[in-house]
Amino acid sequence: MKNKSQTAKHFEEIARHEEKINILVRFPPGKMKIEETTEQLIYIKRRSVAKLTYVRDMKAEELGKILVFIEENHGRYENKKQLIELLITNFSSITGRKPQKAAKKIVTNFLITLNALELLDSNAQLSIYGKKLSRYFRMDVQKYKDYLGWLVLSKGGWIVILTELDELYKSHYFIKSKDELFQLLCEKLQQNGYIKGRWNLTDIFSWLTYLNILKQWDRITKIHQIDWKRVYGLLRDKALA
Amino acid sequence: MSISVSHSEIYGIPGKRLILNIQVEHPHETWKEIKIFIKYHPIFKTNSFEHLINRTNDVGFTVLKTEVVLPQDLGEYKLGEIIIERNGTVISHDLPRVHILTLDGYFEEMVAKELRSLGFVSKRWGGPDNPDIEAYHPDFPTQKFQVEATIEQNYGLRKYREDTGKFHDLKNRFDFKRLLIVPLVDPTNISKDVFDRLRKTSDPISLICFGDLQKLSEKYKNYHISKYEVFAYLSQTGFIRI
Repeated sequence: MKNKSQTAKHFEEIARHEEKINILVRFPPGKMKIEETTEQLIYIKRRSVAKLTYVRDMKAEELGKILVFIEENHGRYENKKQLIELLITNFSSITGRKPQKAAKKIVTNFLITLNALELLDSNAQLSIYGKKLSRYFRMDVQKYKDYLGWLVLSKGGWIVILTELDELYKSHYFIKSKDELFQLLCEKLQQNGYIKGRWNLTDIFSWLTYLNILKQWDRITKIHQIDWKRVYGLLRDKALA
Repeated sequence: MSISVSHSEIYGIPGKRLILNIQVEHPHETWKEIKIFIKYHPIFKTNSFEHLINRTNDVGFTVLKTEVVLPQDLGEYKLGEIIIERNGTVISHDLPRVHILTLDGYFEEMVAKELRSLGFVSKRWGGPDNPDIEAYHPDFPTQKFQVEATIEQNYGLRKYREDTGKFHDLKNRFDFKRLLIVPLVDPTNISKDVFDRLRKTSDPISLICFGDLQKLSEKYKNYHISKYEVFAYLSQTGFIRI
């Protein structure tokens, strides 16, 4: 009898034995929805954007040329003032533009952008970011675009421009022209405290288009479509950081 | 974001512990926090589980553990729901369905499961007016088996008569061709009279101990025997020994 009851008892033990349920939660890369990506970008915006980098009178390609010039003239200046003078003197050869009376103002704007993107250190020498970007400009244009894209989105804070632009598109307001788009976007940025005064966004948009973050202006839909995949790819790529 | 759960159904008796291992792989992208929330069916009388992951680690994932004990209330219930929230995006997934059974019912489920692993199509009926299990092999669909599973500690003549009587009552209604008796006990706990009856019977009645059914299943899984041999074994009249 002892043996008999043991079989049943043993089975009861098996029946009562703990069972494991395994649950796996994954976040596969590249499979995120656009809405999810936008949520992330809004989060990045809230977390890290303190100021926006302003770009005026400068093309994205010119930035590379300026960096190469600064690198090549290492040791020929000691401070920021001397660097500005050097850039003014060589303005035409660097940019390919005609000599201008306003060269000093333009060069000053260059320096503001370089500082904002942390491409220069406190001694007006190229920082690690500046050296990296200069090297990419000389060797591989696509890498230059990727790295500059990452810099303007993260350090330049232009992620804010994209998220505000996205919200503007989603407001279903029919934008009639590029000027109106810039005006509405400017007002939104002002309202949310990212900028003071009226900004001319033409150059910023031409940079974003050059960097393939924005698509070309669509004359029919009247929008600059945002390439979120590109934005997300740039922010995700740790090699850039 | 995706959630996968290892089981879709769980069978158990009251008091059985279910351990939920939740492995959360950290996203490759920037993230702030991941909220894990498990809401159980009220029948389980278990508080909901909530956890917040807000930092990454070296291994790139977090494993959380929680457990539920099956209550006395017999029946079939949805265990609950797991909800994951990340950066404002929420997704949810149902947890497995749980069948809380008596020990008899659980044994019947185990027998049906073994038959399924042998390539049979099996269904547990339960109840006094129904067979314990109905089973057939897809290659021989007309050969329908009535399976009677029992956990009685001593399989004697009285129980044998009950099972065979039930078979004669049900075979026309369910179109059964054979009776397969599966006791939990091993052959030493089956009475001599039952063996005598099994030896003499000309009816399509067979008996296989649960341990032998498991052995047969093991052989089939390891490709030691074919599906035809399995069918031949289970279609033998009398006592089946593996």
